Amino acid sequence: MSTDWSGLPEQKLVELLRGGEETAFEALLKRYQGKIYRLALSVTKRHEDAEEVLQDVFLNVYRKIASFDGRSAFGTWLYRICVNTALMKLRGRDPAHESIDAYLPQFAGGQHARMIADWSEGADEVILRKERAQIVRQAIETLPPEYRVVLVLRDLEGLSNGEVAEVLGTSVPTVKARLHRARLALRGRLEESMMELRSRQ
Amino acid sequence: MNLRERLKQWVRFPFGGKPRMMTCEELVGLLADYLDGSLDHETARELERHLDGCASCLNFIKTYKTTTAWVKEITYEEIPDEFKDRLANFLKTKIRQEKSGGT
Repeated sequence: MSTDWSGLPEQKLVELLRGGEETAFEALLKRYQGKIYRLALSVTKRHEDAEEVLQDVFLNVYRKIASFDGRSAFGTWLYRICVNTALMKLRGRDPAHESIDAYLPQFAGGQHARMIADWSEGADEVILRKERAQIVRQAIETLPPEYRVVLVLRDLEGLSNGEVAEVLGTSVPTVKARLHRARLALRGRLEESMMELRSRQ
Repeated sequence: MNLRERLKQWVRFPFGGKPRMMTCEELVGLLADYLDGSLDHETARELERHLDGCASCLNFIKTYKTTTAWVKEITYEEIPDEFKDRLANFLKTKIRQEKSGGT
């Protein structure tokens, strides 16, 4: 049982696991637990929830590996199980999110309802990078889960639109539209924070 | 007809074929496609023509891009070592139980 399989390609590990090799399961667990934890944490926002999600996800992988048909990549399949499990966990306990509409750009007769300033210019003089990261993280957390998931998968995990669509079981245009709205709402939140910081200076 | 086609037609043929300026609202709606390069050449040109004369939209694009750049800089904390240990133990126990026919 001391075989080191950490260097084997993912597909090979999946094949071995399907053939009943448990060492392959350990290797896959080691390879993916960090990513799955990050994804679970960004959806649920709580360490204890993320830990439970992680347990459920990998137990499900072990139980369902026979039904994994290999049409999508193993990673995509794993992300899908994680997102579904994490969203289920949120259901019923996440307080109703305020609508993102208030942070979307406002227009009057097709024009911006007010002048838009470039609050990003010289941002390093207004706020420390570490504080800025904190503000961005908080802004992401206020997004409704269906927007947060898309943003995290695309911008933090670096998946393509097609891969995100596969993970969420939706279409590429839906992913693109949701990502755009998520970014618009985040932009609005950051604008509010940055303008306030600037006005205090 | 999808939104982009509708916008394109509207932008190009408003009053008997004379080009009409794209509005700020239309520009914001097309921004994601523009930035990932999936907007057709003609519409992209219309968008850039609007940008030339609209400081608000120029600032909007800058801050939209900054938002994405800042998001990409975020790092989530690593999985704690004690989580890894607990997870490995949990799975070992569960799998052993299932193999021996327990619940």
